[in-house]
Amino acid sequence: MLKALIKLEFHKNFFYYLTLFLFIFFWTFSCYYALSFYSLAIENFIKKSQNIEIYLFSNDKNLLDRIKKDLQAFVEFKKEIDSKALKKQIFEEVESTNITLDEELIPKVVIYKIKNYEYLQDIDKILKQFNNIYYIIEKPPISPHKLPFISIGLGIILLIFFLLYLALSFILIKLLMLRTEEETKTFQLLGGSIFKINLAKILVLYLFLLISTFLSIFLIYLINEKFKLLESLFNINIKTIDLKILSLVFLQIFIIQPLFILVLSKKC
Amino acid sequence: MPLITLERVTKIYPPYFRALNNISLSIEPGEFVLLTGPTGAGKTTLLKLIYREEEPTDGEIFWEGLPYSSLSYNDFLKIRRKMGIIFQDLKLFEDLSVYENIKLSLDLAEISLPKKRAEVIIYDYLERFDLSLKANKKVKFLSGGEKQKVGFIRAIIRDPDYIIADEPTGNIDPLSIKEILSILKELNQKGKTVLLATHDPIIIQQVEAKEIYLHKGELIPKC
Repeated sequence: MLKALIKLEFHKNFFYYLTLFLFIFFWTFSCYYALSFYSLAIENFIKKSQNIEIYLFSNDKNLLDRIKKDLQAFVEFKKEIDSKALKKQIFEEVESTNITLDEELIPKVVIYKIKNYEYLQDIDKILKQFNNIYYIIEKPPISPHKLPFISIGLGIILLIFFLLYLALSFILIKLLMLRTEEETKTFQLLGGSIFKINLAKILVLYLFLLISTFLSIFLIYLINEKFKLLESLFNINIKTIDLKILSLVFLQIFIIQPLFILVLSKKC
Repeated sequence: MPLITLERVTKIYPPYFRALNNISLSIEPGEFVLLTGPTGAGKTTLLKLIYREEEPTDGEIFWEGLPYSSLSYNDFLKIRRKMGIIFQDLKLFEDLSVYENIKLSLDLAEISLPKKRAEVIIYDYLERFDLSLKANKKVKFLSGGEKQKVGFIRAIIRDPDYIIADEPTGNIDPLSIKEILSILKELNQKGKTVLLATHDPIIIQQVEAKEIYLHKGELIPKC
């Protein structure tokens, strides 16, 4: 019976399944890139929000060395009391060069990068102790305090995207059920149990969704590997098989598809 | 005890079309009943009420003394599995082959036969109706008469206890009509109950059966 039902299902609803497949493919495709951009954006924000750049301007090399020592002492002190600081380099001398400032040649400019935003106040205090130094502290464009809001905002956009997918899928599946309502009625008139009939339909649908998911992911893999789409369009390199892909597979197989089955089973 | 009893059954389709009006009748087990009357008399509606595709607006139908209103969904499934229904609109699965349509009827009736045995029985019937060469053809590619034959085979393949046939001979050639009538008589002689709706006078003449005549939804006593 199942064989005949599968055949009937595919013959009758071929174009419907084709539409559903394209829908799943485009959803998986866009969801993959949305996730990629999401993680890239967050990573970028974190990077930017943790960099404080300090520019020191002075003709006095000794003074610059003293400041450097003071800053290093501060960092060492922080390392001792803050176990987290040990895990990352919090103080880094980037470059030393000469610049012209107000038509006066300043022979020494030292740029320091501090990766701990919370040390900003302390560094400012240290630098204020020196009278003959001109310094600029360049704060990050995004405060780390705003980071959770940015993550949540982007997360909400992703969630809306996901809910939209669920709603559209539900409408599509409901349409499928309506399309085959007449057949279901005939099955019942011939003595077929509606539970078994719907179970067979659900199995067909589940099988189809599984195949579609894997096919979609395989296509994304091919597009990434062969055409380097993301790299050429946005100059971003994302590894194809990574957590994002895996999370999509798990999302489809263990959350979305069982959800469909649950909804459809309620109709049985 | 009668197999089917209708007590003052009325069926009204919205907005207000009285398809059946106050019908009372009974059908005994093993009877051959001819349901006759002109087109639009209410024959199909009466059959639909019996196999519960539709429910009456008023009145009650009894199956072996039990009112339909007291029967559960599963009870109806069990009854339908013992029925062989030939629908007026055939209700075939157009995208399945002739063989698959017939086999599905066996499966839905939960008749488990060995694959080979089922194949032999199906092909036997197909040969009787000159359809064996079209067994693997999709139903949608068949002519109207061929479809009607498939609908007939699908109904009787499950060896039903009750046969409900709604105009089963509309587009069929005289030879096949003869074959259908002979099978129905044969089944009736084996004790099966047959309820045949037709307006074809030739069939009415050829079958010796209890006749129920309907006209504009009313039961007309035959003189």
